[in-house]
Amino acid sequence: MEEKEVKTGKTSWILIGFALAFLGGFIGMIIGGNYAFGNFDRKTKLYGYVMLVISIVVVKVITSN
Amino acid sequence: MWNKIIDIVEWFGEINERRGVVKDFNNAAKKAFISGDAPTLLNAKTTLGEPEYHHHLSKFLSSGFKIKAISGRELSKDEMKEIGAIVLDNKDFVRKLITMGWDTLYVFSDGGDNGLKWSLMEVVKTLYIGKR
Repeated sequence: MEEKEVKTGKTSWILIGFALAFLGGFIGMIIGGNYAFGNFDRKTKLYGYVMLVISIVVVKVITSN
Repeated sequence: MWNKIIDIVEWFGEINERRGVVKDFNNAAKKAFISGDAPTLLNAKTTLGEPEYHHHLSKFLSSGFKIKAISGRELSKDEMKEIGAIVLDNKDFVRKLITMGWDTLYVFSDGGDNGLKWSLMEVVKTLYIGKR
């Protein structure tokens, strides 16, 4: 039975990441990317992907105007 | 029409059964902690499982069995390994988890972000090899 190390995201950082993603900051993108592509559990990874997509969409909307 | 209704009723029954397993685990952990048999209070919940550990019975978006050790401090890797081993050594419980759609076992402590994960199917594979 081989175990593997995994990390879980802190709720406070996930909330900060989402807030920054909605505000259109690149920091939200960085936090999302870290969660999505880092060694995190599936739930945190999913939050990361969502955060990343929101950040990209918001940045795209802001830069298009 | 009736088949659909029966499917829905079975689906709800399965959800209740899964909830029952988590509830029983938490109650047993609570009793063990109160009686002093276990030094740490464990709390289990269902979460997303790892895609690499999926098997045919894995439940979509709820195939992870996450155990949180409420210790008030960050547990060492060996301590988390010990908690995982206690669960995985209970082969009947592991079989039950697999048949009910879980595929990943996570162990975390409440004081830190680091944890460990195991594939439940790997445990079954070692059982099979052991019997040959």
